[in-house]
Amino acid sequence: MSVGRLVAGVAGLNSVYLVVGYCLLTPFLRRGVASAASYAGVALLIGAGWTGVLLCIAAVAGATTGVLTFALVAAGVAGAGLLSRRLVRRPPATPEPAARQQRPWEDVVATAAAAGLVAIAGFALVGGFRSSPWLDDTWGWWVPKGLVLSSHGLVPGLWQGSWGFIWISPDYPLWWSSLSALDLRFVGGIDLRAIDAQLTILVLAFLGALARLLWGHVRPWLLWPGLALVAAMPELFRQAQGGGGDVPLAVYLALYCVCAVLWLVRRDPLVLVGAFTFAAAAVQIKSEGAPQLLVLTAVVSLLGLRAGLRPLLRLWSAVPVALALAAPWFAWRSTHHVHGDFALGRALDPSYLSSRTSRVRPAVHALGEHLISPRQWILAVPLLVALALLVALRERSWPPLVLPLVVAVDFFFWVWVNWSDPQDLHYRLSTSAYRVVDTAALVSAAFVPLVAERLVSRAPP
Amino acid sequence: MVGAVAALLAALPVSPIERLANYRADGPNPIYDHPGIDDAALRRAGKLLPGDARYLVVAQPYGDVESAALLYLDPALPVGDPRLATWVLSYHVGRGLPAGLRAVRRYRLGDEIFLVKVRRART
Repeated sequence: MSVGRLVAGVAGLNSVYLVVGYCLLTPFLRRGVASAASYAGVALLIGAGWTGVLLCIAAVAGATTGVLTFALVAAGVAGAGLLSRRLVRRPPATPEPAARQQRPWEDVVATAAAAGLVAIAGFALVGGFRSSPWLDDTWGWWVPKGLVLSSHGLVPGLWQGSWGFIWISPDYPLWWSSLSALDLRFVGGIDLRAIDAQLTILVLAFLGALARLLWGHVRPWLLWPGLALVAAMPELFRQAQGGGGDVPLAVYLALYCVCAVLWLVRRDPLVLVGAFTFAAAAVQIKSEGAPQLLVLTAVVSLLGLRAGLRPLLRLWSAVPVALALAAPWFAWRSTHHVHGDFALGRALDPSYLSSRTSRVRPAVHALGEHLISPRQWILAVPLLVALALLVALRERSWPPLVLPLVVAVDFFFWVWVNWSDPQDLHYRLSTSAYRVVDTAALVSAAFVPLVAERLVSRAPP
Repeated sequence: MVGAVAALLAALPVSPIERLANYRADGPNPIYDHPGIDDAALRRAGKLLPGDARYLVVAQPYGDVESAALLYLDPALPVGDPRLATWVLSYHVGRGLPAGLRAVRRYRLGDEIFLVKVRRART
């Protein structure tokens, strides 16, 4: 398997995602190449998000998820995006904030951080193409599921176990399996470096999307170091080289949170569309996506108490629609009696939970240790908490505390999952604690520049 | 500026950069949990197996070989029930087959590694 084919295949597939994303963003883009180019990260994640979501629906409807179906879906989504430019009233473009006079030291800080960020991104991209997934889940079932979907579609016998064989985590949605198998199809063979390259590209797109979404809301000398902090978190690209579904889930949920906050604070229609898309994709990546989406939405909504009911209602209406797009998969699972280890009824049963309270402390300890470890996620969470406390004290108001509360609630969601899960706790924590905190870590890191901006801002609260 | 920063980072003998860029590159194959898995033999099995086959894996170690089979034997489908198998991938478990199956044709892929076309044995 040559490196040329690897690079060409992965680049080709991502070019399609990019084109699809740009077609969907058409109504929101301003004139000018540089302005449009700044949306590349958003476009790639929106393109990959929607094609993946629709491939999942196509699989449940009986189609295979191979290159032909992908081409039809991509063409359909791109066409719908272009058509929306004619049909949908073009929302007023959010004006770019007026350029503020930068002090020389601010320029130096922003430029140095941006250069460091680009250098890290370059190394990570090279590393992605040179790595085979270290996580055996990736090539043991994430990718093979996608290969079966690509060749045969959903084969009930393999998801039910009636052939004497059953996938690990048969209840998981199909987004990451479908996309990872597409990478192998585009590469033209089993070259697992394509999976790490794809995940690395999604993470780089996440950084690009964050830069675009926060641009204008955060001054450059805070924004670029903030993004460099995200890129420098050792666990981010280490896990991208693992190949599993936790990183894309965290990427989409973190962007959903950023878009939801920006929508409630600034009311830019583009970020509402972004929140909807990122929510829809997150729900289709892992089973944990849907409950985390609901939990995160509930906490972020606290910010909307000051924003008024209308923006809140719009956000709340986007979430059920995103969940409804996963309804075909949930229905298929139910019809074919496919389920995982986790049972919601049991997890909410007070007598069951009270009989296993000994699991809470080890779960808090293990998850917390990973989340605040400087060797894994640097100090994104403590930094967010400290900054939010400072802002809250200065402004004598509670809304800045909502952002660390989002992270705390996601953390305790995972404590509850480990508390109620029937599996051996030691096994569960040792195999998954380091990666289920990805969402909390990325949300923290994404919020840091926003809170830092609020801290240095002289504008009245 | 970016070039200078990148050159500086690359020149530093620090493990984070080595890990990030994966200085010791991996190949296209899986990183097996057990060393010494014959990946080339498993890839050969994928070229021999017909696309409409249903295969059973009997292997030692099982996890690595089963997972590699799921990658390389696509579009053939895996089964766990010997009665449904039309082929058996046998890896380091001798020449024997699961009860109820008899060999129709046997391909030797490597040292004690066989791909066997099977039929249900008459009882």
